Amino acid sequence: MVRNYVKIALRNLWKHKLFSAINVLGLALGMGVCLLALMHVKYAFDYDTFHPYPQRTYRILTDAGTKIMRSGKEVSLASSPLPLGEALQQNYGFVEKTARVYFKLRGEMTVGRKALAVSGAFVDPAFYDLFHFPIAQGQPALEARTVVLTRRTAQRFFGTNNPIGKTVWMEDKGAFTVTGVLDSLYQPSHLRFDMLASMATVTLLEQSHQLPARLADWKDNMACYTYVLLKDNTTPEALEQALTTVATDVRKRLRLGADKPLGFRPQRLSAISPSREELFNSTYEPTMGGIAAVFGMALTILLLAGFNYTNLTLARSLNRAREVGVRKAVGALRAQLVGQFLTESLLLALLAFGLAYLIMVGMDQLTSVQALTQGVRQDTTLWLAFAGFTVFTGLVAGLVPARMLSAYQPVQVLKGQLNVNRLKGVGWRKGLIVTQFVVSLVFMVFVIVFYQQGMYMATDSEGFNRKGLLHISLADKNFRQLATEISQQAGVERVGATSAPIGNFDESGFLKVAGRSDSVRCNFYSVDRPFVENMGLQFLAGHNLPATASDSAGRFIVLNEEAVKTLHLGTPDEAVGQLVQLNDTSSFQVAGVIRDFRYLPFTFPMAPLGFRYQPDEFRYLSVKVADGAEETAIPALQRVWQRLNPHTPFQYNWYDKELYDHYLHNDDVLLFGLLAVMALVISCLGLLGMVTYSTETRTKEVGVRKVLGADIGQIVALLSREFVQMMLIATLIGLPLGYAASQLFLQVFIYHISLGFGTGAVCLLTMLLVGGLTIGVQTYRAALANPTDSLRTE
Amino acid sequence: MISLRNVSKYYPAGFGKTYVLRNISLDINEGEFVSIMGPSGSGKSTLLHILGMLEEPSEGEYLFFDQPVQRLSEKRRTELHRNYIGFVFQAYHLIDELTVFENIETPLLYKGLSSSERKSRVAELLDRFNMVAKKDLFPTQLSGGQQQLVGIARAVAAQPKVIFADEPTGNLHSDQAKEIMELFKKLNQEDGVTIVQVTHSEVNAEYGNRILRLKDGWLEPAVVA
Repeated sequence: MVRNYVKIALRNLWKHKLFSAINVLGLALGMGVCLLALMHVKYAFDYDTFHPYPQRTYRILTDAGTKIMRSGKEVSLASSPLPLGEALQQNYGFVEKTARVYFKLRGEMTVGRKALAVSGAFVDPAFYDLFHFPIAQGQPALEARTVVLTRRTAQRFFGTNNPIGKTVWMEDKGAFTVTGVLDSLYQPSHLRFDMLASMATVTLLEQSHQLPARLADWKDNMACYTYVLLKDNTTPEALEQALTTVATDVRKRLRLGADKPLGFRPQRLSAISPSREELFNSTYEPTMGGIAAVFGMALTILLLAGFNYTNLTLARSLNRAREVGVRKAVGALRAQLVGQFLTESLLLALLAFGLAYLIMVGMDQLTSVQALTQGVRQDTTLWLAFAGFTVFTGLVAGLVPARMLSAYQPVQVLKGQLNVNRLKGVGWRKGLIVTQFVVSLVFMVFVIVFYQQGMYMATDSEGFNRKGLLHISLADKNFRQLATEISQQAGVERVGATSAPIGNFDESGFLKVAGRSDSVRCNFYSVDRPFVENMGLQFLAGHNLPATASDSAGRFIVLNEEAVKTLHLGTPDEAVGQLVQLNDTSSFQVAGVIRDFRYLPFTFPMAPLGFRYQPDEFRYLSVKVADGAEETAIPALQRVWQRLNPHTPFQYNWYDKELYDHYLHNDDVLLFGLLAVMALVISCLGLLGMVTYSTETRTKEVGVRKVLGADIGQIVALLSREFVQMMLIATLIGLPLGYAASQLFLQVFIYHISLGFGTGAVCLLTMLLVGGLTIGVQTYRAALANPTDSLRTE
Repeated sequence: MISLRNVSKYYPAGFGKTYVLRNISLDINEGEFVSIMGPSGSGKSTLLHILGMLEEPSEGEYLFFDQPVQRLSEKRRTELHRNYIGFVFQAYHLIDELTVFENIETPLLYKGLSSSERKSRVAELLDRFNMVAKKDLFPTQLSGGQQQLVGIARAVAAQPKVIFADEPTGNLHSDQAKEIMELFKKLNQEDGVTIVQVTHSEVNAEYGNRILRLKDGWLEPAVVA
């Protein structure tokens, strides 16, 4: 029976090649996107599935009333204070082991002449028991000043040489001895690191002030991640109770008022990824919301393609109705016919899967797609998911047509009571086409707005200069010689220095007016006078930091308008000359006030900003290159660099380009654009199928009308009227929806573009052009047909 | 085997009803060859559809092998279609996507016969109807007469007790029509299959051993021959 079904399905697909092609192509596009989404889901669920005690291991979350800046929503912290682990280990018998992960090992690591940026953590010995990061070579790092490297890190620094016993130098933290190398497994984890040093090291580093004192500090709940392994047969409630007791103790010790909440609670290791709740200071776990968004988008595209199948199959139901009637008359049950039609849609889905796989492989070349699917292992589970998904697609696409088609009664068919207009589901079909174009329009509007907002952020230069600025990352603290030599090169206009290019978070502190008690959080950059000039910042009052090589400039500060406003310093003119205090320690005199410019990501409101002169903090040179000298300057600068720093590579960035790349996610634009094009293509394929079918069934009518004297224009108008109507309805629904969705998206940004009519017009024109061509070509061809051809057969 | 008692068929029309069949009572015995005749619109096809259980009567009782048809479930009726009833249509109604062989095989598939049983049964029919050479052709590649032969082969494939034929020769020219009618007669006489046909043609009606005449939905009293 099934063989018979498959045979007739194949013949049907072959006989109606256009419809089959439309269906397979559409479904393949939708499924391709869905396969990527499935891989993303699989990846998210693969996180941390390889640890030995997933049910008994917990991460401790901290509830400290932390609010998310934008939404004001209160969330827990994924991190906790450093002393917590020890407190639990010592006082509670049911705690088998605790491990802290203290991510304070970030910076440049040097081995011989090689210096590269790495990021790692200090971990307790129990870390290697709680988590399955197997040591491939050597021993775990337990003693002070020892470290294990991941295989990748080992290869970066040592190539094929054995790193065990070798010494590595960590920026600001001194020497470490390598004791082992971690195996590189397929193991996506919420913890990511290049290296793991022993927690014992932290004690030494705190004594020598190379790390801030945090080991006994209960206040810093952003410090580390604490993991607890409970003994067998311990309920999580026991841990919860213990944590409540600890929290009460801590509150007493810190004398926290009622307005400063503090609590701890356990989160099971297996519940970390995909994360079901928003956490502050979280690790690398994918979020459930993110997965849902990706999958929702993919399903939408697939749904559109499914509509095509439903639509075209229903449109052809006149042809199939006869077959249904005959089969029923010779003894087919309705269920058997449903089975037959589902076999057909399943077969189609299978064909589409083949093509979809190719599409998926193609799309996986995009970086933003790789970010979703990076390194997913294509194992049995994944292929089972693919297979299940293919079956699901076939069933869903085929169910409605199967039910409708199998409902035909033989007598209706045999009596010839069927005609196109009386067929079931005409309203359905129109609804589906309208829906497709609505979704396409929403996608298109959104993509354009997404791109415009990206462009706006990437090219914004209000109140500052971004052109011809080169940032060179410094090799050491002696920047003066380099600065002097670079300033002598041709094409270089000015050389300044900064702690970080503006736009990257640097450091923040609490600023207050001397003599007052209320302080405000303020972002700081350490810069010099030429840097401010390079940035082209506009002074509203006062002047720049003093031009001096001596450190007397360190007594002055330049603030932005926002800082003046939040500090209640009055007008910019009044603010100049006032004294402000930073973190209750050092005081500065306000040298000048600059006009506000957007130095934070566009999702943040304007915040206070201060520039001060602290040469110790300088990490970058800021070089203003004359217009037109951009190309020629680089080699000269490189020569200077290599003479002064023979062992460190010359690293530089054009500020203009850095901002552009940072804000315009070209790959995301490409991905969304691709999705929008897919939606439009699928919709047009469906439209093409419907128009083709509709004109075919009306050949005779067209013939008669032509004989009666209708011209081509009138015939085209007649045939396309219905479809043009549908597209107009789609416009009326789709454009407002698209604008609404875009407006919602723009709400994420404090500073955003305003929606214009242009976007809608462009989308509308695109849709009408493509849709109009689809309708026009088909109907024009039908109108051209010689009436004798269509009438002779009757 | 077939017995209609006071069967009527009507459709709602405006405030009243339009009668297609009025108060029909008739009996057909096993082995009969009955022709239903009458002018266009007299209700011939409707009567045949009711007899073939494709349509339900609005009133009255239908007994098929002493079973009250109107009380049977959909499933039971399908079973009767599979095992007792064969249809032959004026427009042949072959499935275009299936070959001659597969068209004949279809009822056997639904009857649940094994592959080898199906093959031997279809081969036997092809042989009997002289169509072995055409078994792999598709219906569109055959002439009308040949298509109707396939239609009849399909109808008898499941070895039904009765064949309902709706103007089986309506689309054929007279030579082909004659051939088809001879075949029906042979099936009736040699295989003992009951045949009920609707026809316009007095000539074709004569192949049967009884003629039922319908006029405006009434069954005219049988003319005693």
